[in-house]
Amino acid sequence: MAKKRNSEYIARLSGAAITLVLLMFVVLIVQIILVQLAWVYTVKKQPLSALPDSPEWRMQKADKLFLPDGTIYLANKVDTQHNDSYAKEEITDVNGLVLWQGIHKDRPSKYLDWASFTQNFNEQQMRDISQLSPGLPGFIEAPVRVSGEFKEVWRYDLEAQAFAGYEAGGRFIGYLGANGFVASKAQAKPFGEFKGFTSWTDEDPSSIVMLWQAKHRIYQIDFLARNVETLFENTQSDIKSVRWHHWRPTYPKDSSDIRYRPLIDCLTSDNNHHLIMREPNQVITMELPEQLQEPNQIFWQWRYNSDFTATDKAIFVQYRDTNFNPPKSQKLMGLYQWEYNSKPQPQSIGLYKVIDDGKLELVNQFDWTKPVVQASQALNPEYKFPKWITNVSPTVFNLLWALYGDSLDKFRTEGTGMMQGYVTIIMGFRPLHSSLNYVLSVMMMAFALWHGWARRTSWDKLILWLIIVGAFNLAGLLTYLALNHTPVIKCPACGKKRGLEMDNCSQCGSPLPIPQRKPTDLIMTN
Amino acid sequence: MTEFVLETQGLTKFYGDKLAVDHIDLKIPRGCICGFVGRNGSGKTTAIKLMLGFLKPTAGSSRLLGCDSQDLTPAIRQRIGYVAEGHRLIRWMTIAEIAKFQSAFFHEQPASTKQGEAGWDSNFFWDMIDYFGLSKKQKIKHLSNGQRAQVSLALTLAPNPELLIMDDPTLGLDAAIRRQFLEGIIELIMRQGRTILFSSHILGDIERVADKIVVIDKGVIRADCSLEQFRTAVKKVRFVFGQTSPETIDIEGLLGSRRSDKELEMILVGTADEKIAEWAKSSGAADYQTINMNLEDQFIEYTAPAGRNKPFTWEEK
Amino acid sequence: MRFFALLKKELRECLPWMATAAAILLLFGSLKLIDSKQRQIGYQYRVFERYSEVGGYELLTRPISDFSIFVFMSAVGLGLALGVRQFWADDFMGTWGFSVHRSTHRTTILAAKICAGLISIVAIGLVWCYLFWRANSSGYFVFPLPERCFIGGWLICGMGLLFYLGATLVGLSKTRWYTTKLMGLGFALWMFITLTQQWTLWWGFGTLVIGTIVLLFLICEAFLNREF
Repeated sequence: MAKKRNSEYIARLSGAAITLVLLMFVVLIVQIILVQLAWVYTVKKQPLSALPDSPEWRMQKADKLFLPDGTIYLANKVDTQHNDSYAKEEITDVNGLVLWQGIHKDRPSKYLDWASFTQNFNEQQMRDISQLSPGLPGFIEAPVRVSGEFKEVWRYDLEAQAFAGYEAGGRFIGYLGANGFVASKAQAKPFGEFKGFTSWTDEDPSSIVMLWQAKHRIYQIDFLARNVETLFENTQSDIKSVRWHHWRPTYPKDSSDIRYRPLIDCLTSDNNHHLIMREPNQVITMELPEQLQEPNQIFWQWRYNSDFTATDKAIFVQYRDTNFNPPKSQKLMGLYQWEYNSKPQPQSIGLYKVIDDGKLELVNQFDWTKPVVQASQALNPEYKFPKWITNVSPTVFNLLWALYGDSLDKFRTEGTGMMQGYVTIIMGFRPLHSSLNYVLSVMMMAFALWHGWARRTSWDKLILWLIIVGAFNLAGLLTYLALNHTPVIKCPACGKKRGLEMDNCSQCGSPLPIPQRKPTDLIMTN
Repeated sequence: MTEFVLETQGLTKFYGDKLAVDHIDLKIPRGCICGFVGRNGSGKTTAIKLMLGFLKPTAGSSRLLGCDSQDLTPAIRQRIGYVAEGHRLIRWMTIAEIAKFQSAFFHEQPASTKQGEAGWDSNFFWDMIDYFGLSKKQKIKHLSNGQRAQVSLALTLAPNPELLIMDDPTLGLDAAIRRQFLEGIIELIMRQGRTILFSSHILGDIERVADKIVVIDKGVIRADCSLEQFRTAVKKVRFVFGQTSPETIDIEGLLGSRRSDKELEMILVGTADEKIAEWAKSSGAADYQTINMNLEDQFIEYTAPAGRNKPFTWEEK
Repeated sequence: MRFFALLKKELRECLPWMATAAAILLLFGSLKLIDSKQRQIGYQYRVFERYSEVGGYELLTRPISDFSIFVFMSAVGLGLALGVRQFWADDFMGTWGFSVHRSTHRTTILAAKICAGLISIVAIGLVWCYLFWRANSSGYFVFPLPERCFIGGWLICGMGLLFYLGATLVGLSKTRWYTTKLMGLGFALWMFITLTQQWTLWWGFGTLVIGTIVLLFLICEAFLNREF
C-alpha cells in the first residue's frame, strides 16, 4: 500500500468530524420526532391550569394593590373571556369586601403604579435584523420631519455604534454618537455595546426620541435637536435591566390621582439599583437589604421581585417574597421545583418607603399562603417514557453535565441566538437515567469492535473509533459505520473474515493467495 | 537486457468483495504489439485502468515506462497514448477545438524534428482528419461512433506516443472503419520502438496486428505468449470410434471435450501431435482429425466455461 | 499553458450556466428596481402620532431586501449547477478518462475546474455590483444604501460558492448515498445556516472562509484519491 500523505490524514479527520456533527444533528431530529410521538401516545391528557376556584387560589392569583399610605387591596379577574385591559375585575379589601367592580382599563388610579420594562427592541432583535444574509440586512432609521416635510434620516451604523445622518437627497450630515453631534465617523464616540432601545414621539411627532441602552450607559437621543444626553453611566459593572415609569410624555396629561415623578430604575450586575428621577433631577443608588435582594438569577421562572416608583411625596419599593430559594446547582432544580409546588408556601408582599439615600422603611406588609400546585408531571411515570427513548444521547454530554452543568444552564438562560436554542434542545434530551445510557454506550462499542475486528488496519485506529462510538453513542456508531464499512472476504487460509485494506489477513497474517496455475495455462513470458 | 515498458506484479483489484483482477503478472517489452483479450467481465478494462493509474490496486503494483502507475508524472503521461472504451470525447467541442485543446499538453514538433520524437504533430493530425473525410468545424456530438473513433485515434497518434494503450478501440465500428483504424495503428507500428497494448473482442483485428497475446479469464491471466505460440498450442481434435467413445480421457493438455455416441471432440492445449496419435491408438479410435480453427475459434474454446463434458446427441442428418 | 487550456475549456463549459444565472439576476433585479422607483418605495417613511411609543420594528427599513432572493437563487442555483456540470457530468458521459489522462498533475486539472467555478460565482457578484450601483443612483432611494447591504450581497454570492463546493464534493464521492456521499452538501448547508446567523462582517466572512477552506481541502483529497 502506498504511504499516505499527511494531508490525507487531516482530510480524513476533518471529514470524520463533519460527518459526526451532521449525524449528531440527524439523531437529534429523530429523537425530537420520537419524543413527540411518545408524548402524543403516552402522556395522560390533563386540563390546563384547571385550578380550583378556592379562596386560597383567589388570594394567590389576585393583584396586590397598594395605596400610598400602605393600605392594601386585592384585584381579581371575574371573567377570562377578554384580554387583560378589557377583562372584568373586582377590587376587594383583604377581608373580601368588594370595593369596586368594572373593566380593568377603568381601574381607579389611586393605587400605586410601578416601573416596568422599557425595551421594545432588544439585542437579539438587533442581531436578527442585522444578519448579513440570506435576506439583506435591515437598519434602524429614525426619520426627521420639519413642518411636515421629510428632511433627514438617522441610520444606526452597527460598526461605528453611532447614528449616521443624511439629508433628503442623500447628502451626508454627520454622526450622532455618545459625544453628541460630530461631522465625521472618525470623531464620533461609540455608544457602546448595544443592549436595547425604546423610542417615542412627544408633542411634535416629527421626530423620534430614543432611550438607548448600552452595556455601561443609558442615553436619551433627540434626533430633531441632534442632542445626546447621557442619563446614566457605570463603567464598573454591566447594566442588566432598565425599567421606567412616566418617563416619556403622554397626552392627555396624566389624570392619575397620584403625581408621579419620571423614573428610570437601572439594575447593574453588582445588584445595585440606580434610580434616575426628574422633577427634580435626582439619582439615587441603592443596594437592597439582603432579605429583599433578587433570588438566584438562574431560576427559570426568573422575574423581578422588587419594583420601584416615585411620586412627588416619596419613593416606594414593593417587594414580593415567594419563599422560593432554589439551590445553586441547576442539576437539582427540577426536583426542587417539584417539591416547592407540592407543599403550601408562605408568601408576602411589602411596601417600603425610601427614607434616606438607600435606606428603607416598611410601610405595610401582607402575608398569605400559596396553596399546593397540581402535582407536577415531572415524575409522572408516563412523562418518564420520552426520557427513556432519548437514552442514545451522547455519553460525553452526560459527563459534561456532571462537570459543568451549571455553566451550561447559565448559557442556556443568558445566551442568545441559535447556540442558545441548540443548548436548550440538547439539554432537554438529557436522559433521566445516565446508567442506561452508559450501558447502551458499551453495547455500541461492542458492536463496533465486532464489526471492526476483521477490518482493522491498526490498533490505534480501532481504539480511536471505539472511543468515538462510546462518547457519541448512536451518532458515533453511525459515523463509524459510514466511514468504515469496507468489504470483507473469507480468508482462503484460515476461513475467517478479513478486510482488504491490508495486504495480509488481520487474523492469520496470510497474504491474498496467488491463483493456481492450470496445466493448460500458456504463460511463456521471457 | 530486454526493456519492459509495462510491468505488473501481483496486480489485484477487488470491487467490494468481488474479485475483478487476480494477481496479474505481465511484462510487455518495448516494440511489442500486445493483444489483450478476454470475455465480457473478465477484467480487461479494470486491468488497463489499474495500469494507467485510474484505479488503486488492492494489492500488487504496476509500472509504465519505469514509473509507478499510481504516481505517473506529466512527462510520462505525455509519452502514453490512451484510447478509452467508447471513444468518449468532449462533445461540445469541434474537431479543431479538441485538437487545439489536446495540443496544449504537448510541445509543437518543429518541422526539422525527426519522425518518431515526442511532440504534437499538427500536420499528421490534419492529414489523418483529411484522410477520414472529416471537417474541422464538425462538433464531436454530431459525429457517428466511427467518426468519433477516427478523431480519437488521430488525437492519440498525433503526439507520437511511445506507448499506446487502447481499450476495445474498434467496439461498434463497421468493417471499413475498423480497417482504417488498424491502418492507423500500423502507421504507428512503422515508427520504431512504439509499443501497443490493445484489448479487443474482435480477434481478427488482433490477428492482423499483434505479435503477443494475453488472455485473461475471470481476472486471471491464462495465456501470455506470442500469437504464434497460442495459435500452435490450442487445437481441436475430433476422434471417431467404431464403438462408444471411452468414458475417461487421460491425455496431456486436455482443456475440455464433447462427446456423442461414437465421436469425441477434444480441446487440447500444448499437446504434441505425437501424443495425440499415441492416445488415438491406445483408445481405439478409428480415426482422428485436427480441426482448423481461426484465432476467434481458438479463443472461444480456450475461454469456454467449465462443465462442457456433458453428453449431447448428434442429430442424424 | 496547460492550466490555461484547461481553464478555457472549463470556462466554456460553465459559460451557459453563468450567463443564465447572470441574466436571471439582471432581469429580475432590474424589474425590481423599476418597480421600487415607480412605487416610490425608497421614499416612504412612516408618519407617527403624537405622544406615542414607537416600536423598534416601525423604525426598521430593509431597502433592498427583495433583491436578496434573486441573488440567493442565482448564486446558489449556479453553484449547484456548476458542481453537477463539472463533476457529475463526466461520470454520466464517461469522459473522465479523457479528462484525467493529461500530461499535467491532477491538481492542475482540479485547480482549473475550481477556478472556473469561482470566476462564474464572481460574475454573479459583478452583476450584483451593477445592481447595487444602479440602486444607489439618484431616483431610486432618497438615502444612499449603506455598504453593509453591498457586503451582504457578496456574502450571498459566497453561499453560492459553498454550495458549489458542496456539490463538487458530493460528485467526487464514490460512497453510497446513505453513508457519506451527501456530506459535502450537508456541510455546505451547515455553513450556510451558520453564515445566516452572523451579524458582524468579520464573523460573516470568517465563516465563509472557514467553510471554503475545509471544503477545498476535502475536495482536493477526494479528487487526488479518486478512482476513475
